[in-house]
Amino acid sequence: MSNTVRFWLMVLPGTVFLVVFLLLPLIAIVVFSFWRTESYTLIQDWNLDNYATIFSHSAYLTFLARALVMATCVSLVCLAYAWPVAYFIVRYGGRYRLILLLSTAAPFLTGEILRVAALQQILGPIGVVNMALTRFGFDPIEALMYSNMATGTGLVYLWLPFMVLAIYLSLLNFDFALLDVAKITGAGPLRAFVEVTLPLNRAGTAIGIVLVFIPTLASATTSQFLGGPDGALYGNILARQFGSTGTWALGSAMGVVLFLASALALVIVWRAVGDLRRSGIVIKGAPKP
Amino acid sequence: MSDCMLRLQSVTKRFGTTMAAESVSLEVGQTELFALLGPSGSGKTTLLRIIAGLDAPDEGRVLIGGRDVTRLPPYRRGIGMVFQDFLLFPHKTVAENIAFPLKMQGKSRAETADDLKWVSQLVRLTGLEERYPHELSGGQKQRVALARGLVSRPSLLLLDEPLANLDRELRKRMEVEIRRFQLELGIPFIYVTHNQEEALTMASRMAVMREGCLEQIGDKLALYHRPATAFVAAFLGSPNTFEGDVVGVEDGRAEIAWHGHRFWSRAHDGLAPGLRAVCYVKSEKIAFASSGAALAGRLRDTIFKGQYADYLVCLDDGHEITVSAAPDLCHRPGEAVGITWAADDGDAFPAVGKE
Amino acid sequence: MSRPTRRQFLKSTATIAAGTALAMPHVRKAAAATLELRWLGWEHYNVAKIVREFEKAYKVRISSSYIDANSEAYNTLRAGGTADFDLVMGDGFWPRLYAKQGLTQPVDYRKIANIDKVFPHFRPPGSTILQEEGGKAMIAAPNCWGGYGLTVNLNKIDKADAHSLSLLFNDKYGRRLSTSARLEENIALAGILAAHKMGTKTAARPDGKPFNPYVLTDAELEEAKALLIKQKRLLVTRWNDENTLERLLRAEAVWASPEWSGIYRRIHFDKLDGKTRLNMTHALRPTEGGLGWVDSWAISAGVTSSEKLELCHKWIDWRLKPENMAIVATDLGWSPTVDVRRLIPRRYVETLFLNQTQVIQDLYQYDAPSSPEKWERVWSEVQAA
Repeated sequence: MSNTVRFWLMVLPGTVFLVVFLLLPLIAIVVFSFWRTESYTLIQDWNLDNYATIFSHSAYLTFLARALVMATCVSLVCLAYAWPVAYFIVRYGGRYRLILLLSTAAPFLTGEILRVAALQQILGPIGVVNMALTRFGFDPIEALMYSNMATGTGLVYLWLPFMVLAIYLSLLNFDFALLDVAKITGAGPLRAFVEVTLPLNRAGTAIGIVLVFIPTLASATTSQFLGGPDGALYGNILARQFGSTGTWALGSAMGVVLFLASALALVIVWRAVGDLRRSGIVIKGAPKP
Repeated sequence: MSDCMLRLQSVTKRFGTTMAAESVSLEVGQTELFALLGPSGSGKTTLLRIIAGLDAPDEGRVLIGGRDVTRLPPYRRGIGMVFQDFLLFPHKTVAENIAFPLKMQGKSRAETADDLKWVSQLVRLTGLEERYPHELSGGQKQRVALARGLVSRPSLLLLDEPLANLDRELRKRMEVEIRRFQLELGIPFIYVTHNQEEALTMASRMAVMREGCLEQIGDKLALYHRPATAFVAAFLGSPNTFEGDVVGVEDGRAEIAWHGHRFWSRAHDGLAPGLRAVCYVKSEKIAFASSGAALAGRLRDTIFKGQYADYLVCLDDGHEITVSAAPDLCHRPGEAVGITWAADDGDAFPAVGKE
Repeated sequence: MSRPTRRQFLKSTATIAAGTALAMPHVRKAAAATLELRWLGWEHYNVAKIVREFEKAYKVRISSSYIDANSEAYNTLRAGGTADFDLVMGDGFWPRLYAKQGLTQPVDYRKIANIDKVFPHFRPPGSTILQEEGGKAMIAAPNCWGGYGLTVNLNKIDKADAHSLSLLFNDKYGRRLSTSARLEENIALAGILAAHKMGTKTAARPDGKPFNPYVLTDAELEEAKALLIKQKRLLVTRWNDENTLERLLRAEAVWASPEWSGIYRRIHFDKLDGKTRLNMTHALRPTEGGLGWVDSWAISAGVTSSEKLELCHKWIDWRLKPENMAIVATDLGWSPTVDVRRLIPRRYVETLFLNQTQVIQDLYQYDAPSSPEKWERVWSEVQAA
């Protein structure tokens, strides 16, 4: 068997899989986005109406804006929360590191719906928190029930483990002895963090942000269960297009827009990381100046 | 020492049940290059970290320039440190690495540029300022580390086996360079190493440590020629070891009976006739002798070492003694030779079980 | 025979293997001789007892697939589902839509003995919804029925407000109301109220047909949209599943919501048993009008063999058997179109409204929105406001 034949035999299964299950559906979505629907039927009538609708109707732009704001807030909260957790696990976890890390991801063992439903038990007006408050005579916290705050909390809860993991992996490769150097050369703890720890883990942090931002941008189930009447996000509307109303063409267009928005977010984060050398990452074989 | 820059008073540090440093006291003067020598696990790095402030002692005090800094964090002690692994910041250029201490002090850009220029010239790094650490060779990295340690003109520089990761040629050059820096700057260097060659080359005063305790501290020549403990005698130089019985003690000397031979040695505390003793004689102190109180044997092998040679002499009863001498002595393998040494060149200590 | 050599062993193994392989198709065909009846419908109708007894009696296998909404069944059928299913369920006007598109075939009521036990309100001449438009053939057989009325907590809501759709849009009960998350029912109910307020409900309509809340004029849609936007801040949430609504009603976090009367019935039973002090009522037909549904069994156009066709009719007949319908009533809590009043306890008869079946003629049947695109747009604008 010649080398070329062998190469193609090895490469073919993966390629076929990717083409059939990734490329073709994506192409189908892009194609549908230029068609239209009428009474549950998809009609092959090439037009740009769907995109025009999305960008001219304030409704759809509102959903997109809500999703962008939600994704940004959730990413920032996850960032603030995950950094100390990951740092603590790596620095002080010793041989319990892996167990501690896995326990932050333990909720993943149940499904997403289950976790969101469980959150309802805690956050809703008849959830644990508010029932406890009413029991002791306090007013229930409005913000916790069926609101964007509840959706945000749910999303942070769902996606935090990804951020923790990304920062954890980055910190594993971080030489903590550098902090000794920083201390001796005059840096206090905060300064040392800003000057040494953070920059050297910039790539890991960026990956964590991307891992949280992009799925949150598309999220639908969490807001469906936890958000109130004003809580509908882009993902909900997108899902609905493929559900009861059968408006597939508009839905496909929304999908393309979501894809582009996610890609844009990815580019922005990548740019923010900037020169990899400033993050202490060395690419072997790169040309020396 | 009137102008002592660093003083440790009864510093003790425990890690669990292990005693890393046991009531260590020492003083280092303003212009000294002081070496802390010892095998791994002797506690020398622990001591250095305590001086640096990276670890806190369980008991005792650290005084720098007369100031009690025991409770002060490292960034308030005004010291510099150089590490074995260099520990350069991989995400900063050479210039940024070196200027880091100045940045922490909040110095202006102009002052920073001046200091940078001075220290770059000192360690001979001009031209490499915009490189990143991964683009430097080992020797260059170490010089950057030194520059970073010196740029803020600390009152004290700590060096933790800085040359261990360099190859031999580089090491020899750096030994000279580091000594030069210390003399030029006029600040004390505390140099930790397990390599006695480095310590003996660079330091003026040194201390030998073992298992958390200071075995002996003093002028390096004193330690070398007049070891005070068995460990120091065995550790420095390449000594021959003779374990025998004390026959007599007289006038600070002891006569040792060793496998039928007898010789005199300097006696240390605890020796009495009838006791078991261990005697150390450095190989370069032994000389070939045709007559006199000599041990007789045959030259088994010669190991050429460049500036000197090790002659392996096999005594009649099979024991082997190493003699270091000039490499061009005309003794041939198999030749019968006699060896001898002065009484004051041997040190006898009481044998203490299994060391 | 001496000890078998390896060659002999391999030869005999190979023979057996080949023989089995050749015989396999025959074995499979024999198993396939058992007829399989496949139906597509709502999950709750898959009552194990009813299914098992049918399987035993007719020596067939039943398999089922489930839908959450009529549009799902519609899409499935159009995507080749007629070959995959023998029976399909639908409610309101949907079966007519299937028949018009040729996705289903007529049902012969003469082959269904139990059809006589069905209340006259659910078959011709009482109701023609399951008859083909402008024809005589029946396109589906009725199964269960119900409304989408208001379940109201009388301890918190004024009795005077309890029977009107405007209750759902009343400021007095701010943050104590709820509706489902499904856009079709929400817009339809709002549409009924809008048309009522605008007076266009009883007036002549552009398409000449009587008022259908799923066929709204643009003006009515705009008014409905305005109502729905105003309603948003009165809602605690829009529920996705009945369990959530039941918890909210029982905790009195929600005081009123439209629902299919099942929750009302459960809470009412608890009250009768003394387990709760909640006093709920259910307005099956609100003042301005309400939605109702009759779900039914239709036969897929993919059924070609007469044997299968017979079986389909026997299945429908079996489901309509009063004893089986009684199980549906008491165990599932859905109101049957068959008269089972003598077979079930009184409290069921009352809470399943079996003494008021005529009200079905006064309710607007579930249907497909005239323009899903327009309705999607309206709902998006409501949600974004």
